[in-house]
Amino acid sequence: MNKLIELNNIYKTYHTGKIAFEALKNIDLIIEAGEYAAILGPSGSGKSTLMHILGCLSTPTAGSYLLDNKEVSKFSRNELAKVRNQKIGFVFQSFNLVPQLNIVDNVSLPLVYRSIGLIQRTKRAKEILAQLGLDTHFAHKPGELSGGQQQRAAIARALVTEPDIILADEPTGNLDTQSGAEVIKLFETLSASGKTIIIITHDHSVAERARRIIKIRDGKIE
Amino acid sequence: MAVSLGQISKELFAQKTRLFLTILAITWGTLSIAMMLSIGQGLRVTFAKAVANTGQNLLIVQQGKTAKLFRGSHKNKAVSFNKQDLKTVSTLPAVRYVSPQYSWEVKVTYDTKTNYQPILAVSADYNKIHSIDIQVPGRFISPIDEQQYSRVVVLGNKVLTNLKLKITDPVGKTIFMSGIPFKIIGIMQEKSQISAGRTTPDANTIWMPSATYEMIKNPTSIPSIALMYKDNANLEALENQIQRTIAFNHSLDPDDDSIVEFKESAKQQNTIDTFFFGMQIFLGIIGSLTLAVAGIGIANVMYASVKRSTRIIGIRMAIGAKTYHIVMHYVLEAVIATAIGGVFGLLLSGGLIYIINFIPMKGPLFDTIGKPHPILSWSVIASVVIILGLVGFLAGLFPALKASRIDPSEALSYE
Repeated sequence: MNKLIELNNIYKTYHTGKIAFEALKNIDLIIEAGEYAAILGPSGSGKSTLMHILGCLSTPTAGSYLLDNKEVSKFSRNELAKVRNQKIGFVFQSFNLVPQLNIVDNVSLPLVYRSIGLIQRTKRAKEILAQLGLDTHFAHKPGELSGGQQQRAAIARALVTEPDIILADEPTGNLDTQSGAEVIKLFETLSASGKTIIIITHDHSVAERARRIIKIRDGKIE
Repeated sequence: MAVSLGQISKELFAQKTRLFLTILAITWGTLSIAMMLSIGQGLRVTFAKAVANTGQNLLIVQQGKTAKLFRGSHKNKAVSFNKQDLKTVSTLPAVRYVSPQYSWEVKVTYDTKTNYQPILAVSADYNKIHSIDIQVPGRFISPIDEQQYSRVVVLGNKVLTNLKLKITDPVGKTIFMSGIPFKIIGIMQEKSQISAGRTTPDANTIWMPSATYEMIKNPTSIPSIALMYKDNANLEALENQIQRTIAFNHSLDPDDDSIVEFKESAKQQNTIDTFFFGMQIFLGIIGSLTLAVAGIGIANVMYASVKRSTRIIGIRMAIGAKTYHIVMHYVLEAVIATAIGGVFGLLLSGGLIYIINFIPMKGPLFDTIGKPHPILSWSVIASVVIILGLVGFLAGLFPALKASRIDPSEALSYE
């Protein structure tokens, strides 16, 4: 197996006025390509901060982050944007779809930032949506879909760029039990196809479906 | 393309209230600037035309007084132009046409109606010098009229109205001036005009042959000479030649520049053009300020939009939007809204100008210069488009830069 993610001695400190708060302390973590891992922790444990650093949405205050053997902690904003676009697909608890756009436009949005033409990106978005059972909802806006359908659309958006890693932050948090189970099943299918899946959750039942559980508490990996 | 114009438009049009307010502000701003510039353009063109109608390459030479002692002649001696002056000036190479100008007021009678009218005794070339066109049927004074001392007159197009006369087919009819009969041979076509060297517009003037006047009145001097110079003439050199010619004829100091006074249509034209160009710029600045206020309104709406869209900006960044993608997104939103408002504003301006053109304008000023209707010319439209583009771009740029600096991690947590 290849090391896809390697965190060494990662710290993340937030400052509120003169008060400093260490959200992450001395994090060492290696995730191999193709792993299906869950980062499990209670609220305030630092798991979302960790996810933002893993997803290149935020840079560590100290430490080294190697993504696919490249040190990304010193990347510029635009370089990080490129990494996010090409290597990472995000799935959020609250779906985070653009409400004014229909789901085809939402799913094709990452391809806009890759300068892929309208016809090609629409075709690709429709293919992915059809694979996820949303082929009858192309023209619908997020507000016109159920929670489960929205999350599937969000997963379609995460997959449309064929990223190495899927980072999911509490992906079942806003779903009913059945829709939640369907989403977890979808992650298992993606994992079986070789994708690296990292789920951030506080839900033990979701974490237990992963092949590896990383527990985090008070900003430290246990 | 780095951003999808279609997706940006969809997002923009989905926020109808915001879009409506933005378009309204820009429409109002565009209307203001387009109307201001069009009014300025209208005034400028009207006055320029009025000056041009007075005569292109027109030079009026008026009598002056000596300012220097010269070969026994004293200071402040009045210079009286004579026939020799007229003849020698007409032979100068740069001069095309020349005419004496005798002007006074005369009692005009037709039937039982009497009124005092300004009259001008001139040569047959005067209509070319002063751009006077005659209605059909009819003609201007001819060289034969001058040779035969004909008692004929040409009337300005408002003279009959001034005399409160309604004569059908006036050409050929006889009017009496100081009791002497004169046959009407022509009526001037309507024209707006600012007179160079005279205060009376041509529309209110009666012309008669200078030879006839000289035969009847036997004047001692020619008060002023009107001439048209050639297109390639150097005006300054010509004025100097005229001054020297007059000085030579009257044995005066050729370097005494107070013996003649000049009134040049070209200088008057330039002065008026410069004045109205300045006025147009001034009006344009006022209009631009209105548009700038509208621009600040858009910028505020865009700032509010960026604030409201913080989370969506975070999402865009999470899926790979770079700084310029975010900047272009919000700049294009502002530019699209500005373009729509601009089109509405220009259409409204065109409609308003169309309506204004139907408003009757009456009064001595309008009789003299014509009706100064606003003109939405291509240069005005181009100016509006350039200013609009700048306002739209700047109104979008600053909120867009603010948006692009948002931290994606914080933006995603924004509620």
